[in-house]
Amino acid sequence: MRLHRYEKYWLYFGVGALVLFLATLGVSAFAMGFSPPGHGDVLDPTKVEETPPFDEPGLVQVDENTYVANIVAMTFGYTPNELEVPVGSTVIFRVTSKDVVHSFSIPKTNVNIMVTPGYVGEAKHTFTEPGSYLVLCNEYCGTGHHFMQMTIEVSEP
Amino acid sequence: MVNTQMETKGSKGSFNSQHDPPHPTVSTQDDSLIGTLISVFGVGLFIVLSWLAVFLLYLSRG
Repeated sequence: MRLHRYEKYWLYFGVGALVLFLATLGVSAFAMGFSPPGHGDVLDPTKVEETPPFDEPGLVQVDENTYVANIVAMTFGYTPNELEVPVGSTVIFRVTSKDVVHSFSIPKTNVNIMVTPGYVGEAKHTFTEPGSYLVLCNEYCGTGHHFMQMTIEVSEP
Repeated sequence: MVNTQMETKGSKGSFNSQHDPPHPTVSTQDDSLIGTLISVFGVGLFIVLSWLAVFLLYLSRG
């Protein structure tokens, strides 16, 4: 098969881009630990209030700068609906839903979890700037969807 | 053999001329595809740079 040399240039470019994207994906996933915000944990969505740790939702301190936030999403809010952590804290958000699909997203961060009933979504973020961070639902969940929000207060220690 | 017959017909006043119609010539000059190459590289670079911008934004928010 005879290929025009310009077609060869384009094929080299296409194959190079494919190798670049796949290499980036592999390094991100296996060396840097990036993963989608679902970690495969499951629970019975009809028994969220009886299932630890969501029977007592809230903030749990793991070590000096690390917290786990267990959060339940429901129409149309989150439990708890306010968290407070000191600047420099790393918070691992673990979120589930007890009714329909919601989301847990903090604008201008990488935290953007699709919260599906029966599953636990997980994402981690380090808060390096003090302030009030708004959390929003960005999956349409019903007539009160636009009211669904909570706040995270990041304060100076 | 065919040409001979056609010439014979032509000489008798049919619609065929005595000369074969010119064959279309295929240009093999590189210049004829340079516009295509620039266009597809433009699209390819746009895709790669867009992806790179989003990936760097993701890393900066980590």
